[in-house]
Amino acid sequence: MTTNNFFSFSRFSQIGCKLIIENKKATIMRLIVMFASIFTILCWISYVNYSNAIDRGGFTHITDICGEYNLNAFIILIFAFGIYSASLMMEDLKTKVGKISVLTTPVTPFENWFARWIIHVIIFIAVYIISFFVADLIRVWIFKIAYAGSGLTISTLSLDYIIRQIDLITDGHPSFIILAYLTAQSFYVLGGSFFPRHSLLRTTIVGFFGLLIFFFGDYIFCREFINGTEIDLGETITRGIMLVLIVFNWTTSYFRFKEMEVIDRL
Amino acid sequence: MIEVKNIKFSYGRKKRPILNNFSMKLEKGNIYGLLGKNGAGKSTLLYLMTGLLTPKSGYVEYLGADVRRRLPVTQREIFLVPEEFELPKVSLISFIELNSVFYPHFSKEDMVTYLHFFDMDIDLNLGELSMGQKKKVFMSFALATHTSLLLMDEPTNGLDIPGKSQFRKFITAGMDDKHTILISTHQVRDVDKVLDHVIIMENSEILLNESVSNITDRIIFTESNEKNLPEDIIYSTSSLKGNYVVMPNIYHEETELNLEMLFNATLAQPYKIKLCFAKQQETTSKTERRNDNDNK
Repeated sequence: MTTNNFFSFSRFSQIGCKLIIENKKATIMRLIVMFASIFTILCWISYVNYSNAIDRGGFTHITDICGEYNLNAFIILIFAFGIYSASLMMEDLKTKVGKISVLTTPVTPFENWFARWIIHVIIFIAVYIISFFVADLIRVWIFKIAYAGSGLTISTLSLDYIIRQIDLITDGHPSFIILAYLTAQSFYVLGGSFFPRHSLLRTTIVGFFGLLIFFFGDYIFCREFINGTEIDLGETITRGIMLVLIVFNWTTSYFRFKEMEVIDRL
Repeated sequence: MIEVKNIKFSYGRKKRPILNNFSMKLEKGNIYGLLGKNGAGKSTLLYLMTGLLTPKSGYVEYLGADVRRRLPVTQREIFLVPEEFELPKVSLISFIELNSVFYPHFSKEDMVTYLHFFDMDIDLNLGELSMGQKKKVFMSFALATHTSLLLMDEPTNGLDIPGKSQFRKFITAGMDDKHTILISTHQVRDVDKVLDHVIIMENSEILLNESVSNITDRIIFTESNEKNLPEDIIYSTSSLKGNYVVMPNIYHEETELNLEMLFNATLAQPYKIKLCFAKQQETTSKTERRNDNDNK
């Protein structure tokens, strides 16, 4: 075993495996809940829209009429589950015994934090996208059978469609929505390191006031100093602030984790 | 070995320090017993020794590094068995596969041997075990890691009656000259036969830090039915037959360590106890000086 005291890939992969396998039951349960929620919402959207369309009659759509609604569901749900996933990043540190177990594992604080970050931020996104598309695929199969012969166009949400629509919604700035997502999620990553217990609730309360200050500051800055004439510049600054916040939140979360003790000093 | 250097620690800025300018050193090849009243700071000391707490001043040095930095190079050589702990709900084999990789000297064969001391097998599901069984499994894993320093906080709490005697055999089996075990406990009768060094602490002070052989060489533990107790007695307490007595071992009689009596005597008469060993230190240094002169 290497004695590298900052990062060793073997230790990092070992702690990653430990985190995934030791929590697999809870993780699988959460995955099932996430998948079931996505599937239920997609089915509900389809049922309402297809029923209404059949009642009205005369279909002219060559694409699925649920496409836009499904896309909105995709965005809202990735925010909701992403935030929830981030709030669980330090879940095993909520008790004293949990802290002892985590903090005495012979890996560096960075390896330990980074493995958690990979699981709750990066792997989560991949798992969410797969879950969403699988749920959408099953929805299409079910509704194609249920509305066979109705003439409705029932199709899955394509990645190409999502990219085009996000581009349209964000007025040609798709990075805005990605940054907004990462900002929100990074805030819960940070929250988890300050409040391992009831992380979601506590971070939401703090985040609510933080958001008010952010929007107020952003409004003042963009409207007063830039005087409303340079909207693009204002949006660029907002994106810049979000980028700084993401990096700040992740970095602070790591340092907070590094300095964590068996007792809560807050 | 591990050295605690002038540690000052309190649980809050305005709270009384649990440890104040506290120093201690543990040597290889010993099983230390750390004794102290509730709130004396035993568990705090163990947490400081594993880098789980940050001292206000001072530090704990192990293998040339400050343990508070929680570097893998030190952490893989220290294992803490806390009084309370959690085990994941996985099979023991899976637990070993996931956790043993962090400890380079881990031996699966030894783990099986240690489990057998507790009449347990490796084919277990950790989610189905009682607290006592979990403790046996966790302690077996801890000993099988072969870390050079093993810290145990109240290891016999939660163990059944056979478990306590099994624990004594188990600890002795896992011990050699390369390792150090520190057992912090109130259950003195569970561990008195396995210790070879005793540390008694109170109010940030080490009242006694002596090997068992030194203790039994300098102090005698006996039971007396005489009404008039000798004048040089250190401590006594009533028993069914008369009195349990702690006295200086002037005639170097063979005696068995009574940890409970030693603890009570040390807390009640710290000065007298210190004096017993001070005399010894004086004698030792005199002998050394005489030997030096003879050599010259």
